Amino acid sequence: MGSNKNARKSKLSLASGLTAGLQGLTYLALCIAALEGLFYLAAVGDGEHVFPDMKVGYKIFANKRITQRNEGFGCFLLNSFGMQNDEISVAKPAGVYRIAVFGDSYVEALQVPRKANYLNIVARDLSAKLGREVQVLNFGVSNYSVAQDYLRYQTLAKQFRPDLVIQVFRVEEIGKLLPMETQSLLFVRPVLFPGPNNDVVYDNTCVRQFMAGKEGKRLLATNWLRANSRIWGVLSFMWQQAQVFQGETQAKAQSMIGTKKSGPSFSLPTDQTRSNYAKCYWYMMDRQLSCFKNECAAQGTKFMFLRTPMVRPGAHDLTDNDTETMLLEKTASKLDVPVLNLDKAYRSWAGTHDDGTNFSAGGHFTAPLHKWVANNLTNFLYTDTKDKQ
Amino acid sequence: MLFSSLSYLLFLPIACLAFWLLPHRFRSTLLLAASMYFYMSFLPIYGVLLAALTVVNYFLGRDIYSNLVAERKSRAKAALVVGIIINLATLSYFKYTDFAISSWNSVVAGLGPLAPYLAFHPGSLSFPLQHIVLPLGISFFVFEFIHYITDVYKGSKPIGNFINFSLFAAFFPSQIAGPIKRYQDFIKQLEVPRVFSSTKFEQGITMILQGLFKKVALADNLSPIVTQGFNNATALGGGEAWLAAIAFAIQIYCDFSGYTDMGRGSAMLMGFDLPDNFNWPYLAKSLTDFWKRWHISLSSWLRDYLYIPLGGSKCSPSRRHFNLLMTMLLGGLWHGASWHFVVWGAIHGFGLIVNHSYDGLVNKGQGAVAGALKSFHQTQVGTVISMLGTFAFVLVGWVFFRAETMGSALAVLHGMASPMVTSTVLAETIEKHPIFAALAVYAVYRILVHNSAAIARAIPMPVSKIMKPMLPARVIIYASLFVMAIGLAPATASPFIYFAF
Repeated sequence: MGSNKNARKSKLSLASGLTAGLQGLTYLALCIAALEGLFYLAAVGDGEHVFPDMKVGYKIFANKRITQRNEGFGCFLLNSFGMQNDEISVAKPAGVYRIAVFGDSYVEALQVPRKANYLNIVARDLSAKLGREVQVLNFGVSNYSVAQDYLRYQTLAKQFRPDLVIQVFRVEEIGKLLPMETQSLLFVRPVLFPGPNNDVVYDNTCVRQFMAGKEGKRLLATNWLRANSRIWGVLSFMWQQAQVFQGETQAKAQSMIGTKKSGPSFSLPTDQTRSNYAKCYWYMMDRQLSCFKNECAAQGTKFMFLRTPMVRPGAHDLTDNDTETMLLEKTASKLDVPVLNLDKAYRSWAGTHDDGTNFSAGGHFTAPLHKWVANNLTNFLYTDTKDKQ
Repeated sequence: MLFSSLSYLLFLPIACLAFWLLPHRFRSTLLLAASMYFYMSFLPIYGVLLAALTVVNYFLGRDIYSNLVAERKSRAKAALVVGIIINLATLSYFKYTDFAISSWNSVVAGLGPLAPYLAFHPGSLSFPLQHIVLPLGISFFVFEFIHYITDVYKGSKPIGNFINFSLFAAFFPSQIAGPIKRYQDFIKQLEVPRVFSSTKFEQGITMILQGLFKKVALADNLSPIVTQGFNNATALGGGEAWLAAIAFAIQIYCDFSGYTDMGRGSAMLMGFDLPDNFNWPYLAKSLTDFWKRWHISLSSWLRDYLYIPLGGSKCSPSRRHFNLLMTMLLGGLWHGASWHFVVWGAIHGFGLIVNHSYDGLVNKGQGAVAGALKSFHQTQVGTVISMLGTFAFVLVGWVFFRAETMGSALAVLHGMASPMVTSTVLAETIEKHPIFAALAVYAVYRILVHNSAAIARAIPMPVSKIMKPMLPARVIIYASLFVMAIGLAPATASPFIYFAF
């Protein structure tokens, strides 16, 4: 009798455990659905916009809506080609003049609404001025180097048969030239070294290292979630915050017990160092730019440089790199490529100090500066196009 | 260590776990140590201040009581007066020194044009500001100490156990911004061993999550909108001026009641009950009603230890009005050392005088008008109008409370009075923050909670039994609420508004 009772009791507890488990799973599904729906409507948790890629280092997600709130505000649907651009057709419609713009986050422009970025303003204004449709395609990706831009041209942009390629070369662009070991996706870059036959040699050792590492594996394993789940976006943000907190707590604890490791501290190099660095490594940049230009020319595509000003995140003064400017102009002259130097123009227009009107806290362009860049670029392109017509 | 910070998220479970693992006799000591750690995490040196005031008030309480027992009432009274002076002097030094100096300097600067006729230069009479850092929670624990020695003087038994007495003011869930506790209720809970109740524990978790949502998803998202509005007060059109003012009304409620919920919830996890501070204040039907619903622990403290000792309402109408005005002026000044808080207090003081007079007219009046007004207030339309009128009055008060200068307050009010003027000062900030989603979620949550019994009745029995969440489901719900609150929160958190008081 007793054993029967015990058996019945354990059966009952098993049944209630199963019920609780099943109910828990049901609630989990319901909560996930509710949270995903809410976060979608509130445009929350969709901040991540790049994924690891063995060839280029990383790419923009295709067809993902992203919302950026940390610096200005922008809510965008990335197009099916993985561009911060409205949807476009591969085939160029007849009579359309296509401009492809390459660069980093300054081109990607996640800090202002898409209509307010300078690429869209140029498209609108230049179309009106020329009396024909001008499409300006945004190939900008956060923290991309010139080498990545060139690879993006080869792997994606070429098929759109642009009439003009604009390589944006912001101040300190050369800082992204060399390979580096990193645990942050936005610093994972292949490198193009100068080859023996006036070509470049592709080297993605750093990318492969990253992919084989802990962070690379994590990102690859969670690619689908990063692309599709807003809950995942929120959890990732929480995880990042927790890591920052852990780091701060550890540093605090170490300083309290006096075991703080005294190692080399990072600080921005002096102007002289940056100048020497630019001179030393320009040959690599020169070769990359030459190859990029030549490949465009082979397609019948014109090429130009757009030099834009830069303010470091949190700073209020323009960054100088005269050596870099001089070297860029030298390369441009050698390649017979026009340069529009808006860094120089900006200094005479607004000076070297900014109070937050033209540059956001993260150092990106605000809407008024996008407008100013667009006006200058439109006038330059209009004059250039008209003269050649 | 903010309640909404990661540090607190680590600290609270450790404190709770240790509390329940220890036998009753060690729990007060543990809570005191945890509370001192919590307090000193902001600025360690002020732990000394709290400790010193605790020691002084503990011995004063004992002294008052022993004098009362020995029937030396005058000595007891002298000890009480000394105690009140020490507490208020400490509060005044930390909170009002710079305010007094800057007010004095303004007066002296005003004498500038008279300089040629004076034997001295007025500027020589001015003093440099001291830039004293306000110890967190000082306004709250000083009021708790005053309540303690006053009640002991009135005949309540003092707290014998020094640890328990120290914990009365230092108890971390209510340390920084209240609720202002009454020691009789709190000590009773300390003395009786807390018994773990899973129901109460879950209530505590729910309350913490509710408070977290109010703070990070609502108040912190409203904060930049309010700041943008009040910093650009002169540029605000009618709609945006109202929006900024209403946003602040919601922000301050969510910020403070969110803090209180998290504090009360934290206390509940360890089996303690703290008094509630809010009861739907914006549904108040009159200003008197508002003060019974807003910051209840402060308003009842002001009533018991200021308004009533001043004579309360059992005196001539003019004296009663004076008492009301004085109580609210000092209540305003308690919030912060700035003239705009005094103006806010004065507005409420005058409002309460009018309210009392009107109530007297309607409730005690004999005429047809009084009767008609009384019946009108009992109708639904009358109730709604009373609520809206009270809210509008409170809103005007909040404008003075929030604005950093009188000019800015008047500019916002001017905007509110110019409904035809349009502006786009707030548009971008509103777009940037998911505030409407957060408000919608909170509204749905409140409706569900408010109608939970009716909803439960409406669902047929077998379904409701299946739906009633068991432990795993409840854990999932709590985790989801937490993720929801964090997800809707802005990237940068704002400090609690009442931490500045």
